[in-house]
Amino acid sequence: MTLRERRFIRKLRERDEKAFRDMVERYRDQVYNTTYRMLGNREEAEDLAQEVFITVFKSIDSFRGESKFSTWLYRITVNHCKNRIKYLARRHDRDQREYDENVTRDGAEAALTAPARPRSPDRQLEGVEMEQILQRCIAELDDDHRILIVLRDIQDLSYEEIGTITSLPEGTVKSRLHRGRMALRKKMQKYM
Amino acid sequence: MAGPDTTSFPPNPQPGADRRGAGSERHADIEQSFSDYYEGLLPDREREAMAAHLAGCEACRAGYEQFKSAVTALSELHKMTAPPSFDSTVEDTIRRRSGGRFFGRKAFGDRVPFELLAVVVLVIGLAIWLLLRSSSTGSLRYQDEPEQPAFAPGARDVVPQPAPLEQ
Repeated sequence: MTLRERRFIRKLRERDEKAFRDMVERYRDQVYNTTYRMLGNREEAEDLAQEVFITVFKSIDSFRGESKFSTWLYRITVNHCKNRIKYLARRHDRDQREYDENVTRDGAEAALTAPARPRSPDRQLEGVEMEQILQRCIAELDDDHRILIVLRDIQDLSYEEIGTITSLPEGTVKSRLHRGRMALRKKMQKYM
Repeated sequence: MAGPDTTSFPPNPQPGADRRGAGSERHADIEQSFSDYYEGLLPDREREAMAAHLAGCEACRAGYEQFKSAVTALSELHKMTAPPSFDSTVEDTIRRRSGGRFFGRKAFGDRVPFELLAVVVLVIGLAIWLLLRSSSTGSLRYQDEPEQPAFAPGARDVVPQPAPLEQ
């Protein structure tokens, strides 16, 4: 951990409002993108991302600094996601029809508002379709596979970081991720 | 007799092995290495052998292309951004749940200062012990002045003694 990060953590422990704001501003999109890709629902993703930051602030004293702050933050995010997925499954709250509507709407919004690479209308439509298909396939994966795919292929984290976040040995991460990718490929074949 | 070909990846089956079964195993082995190949994690020799196999095997090549396009599509997914009201909503939630006491430095942070409490208890205990020790009664009760006898122990009786009877 760098000196700068140590100072930042100290301020968070002192309940410094500005440090907290900086932290939220810096990590909100990473956390939100992760929760969204894990849950496939905009409202649930936002609610969960908020819970993540509240948990961070409540339990910052328990952060021992043995890993990077962002790794610790991802661990909290993943744990929240796992719990929420279980909760939603129990409540049967993931109605497929509602889900389809959300994915269609969110996917369309996301692809059409993507500022990074301007696309032609045809390409935009392709992007929208691909987003929808992919998000649906991700949602159909087992939780364990979904977590690893989101962390590695969407959030672009290293195997070492993923191992720390999930408390899995690196070899297990690799083999499980591979199985997840193969399962995703198989699911995508249905739609392509 | 020729041994297995160890220069190719994965090793070619031994001559005489069931061609169909061995071929299926070979394709399965190739599939197992898709991730490592895609991420460039295979050693040079294995990577070259894998490339050679893919070049010559249509089924594996098609499988790998599907695999590659799926993983590439994941990395190209649009990065979702939190809504503009996200920060203020988080802060509001924290303030509401903590009754406005969440932010701002506290004298001892969030933890109870057990060390300080222990010292205070020790000092109070010591003071009580010293007080008891200095007390002649061995207690903290108020000590009254000793009562004075009604008359001096050596004084003659106040009540006159009866005179002895005369015979």
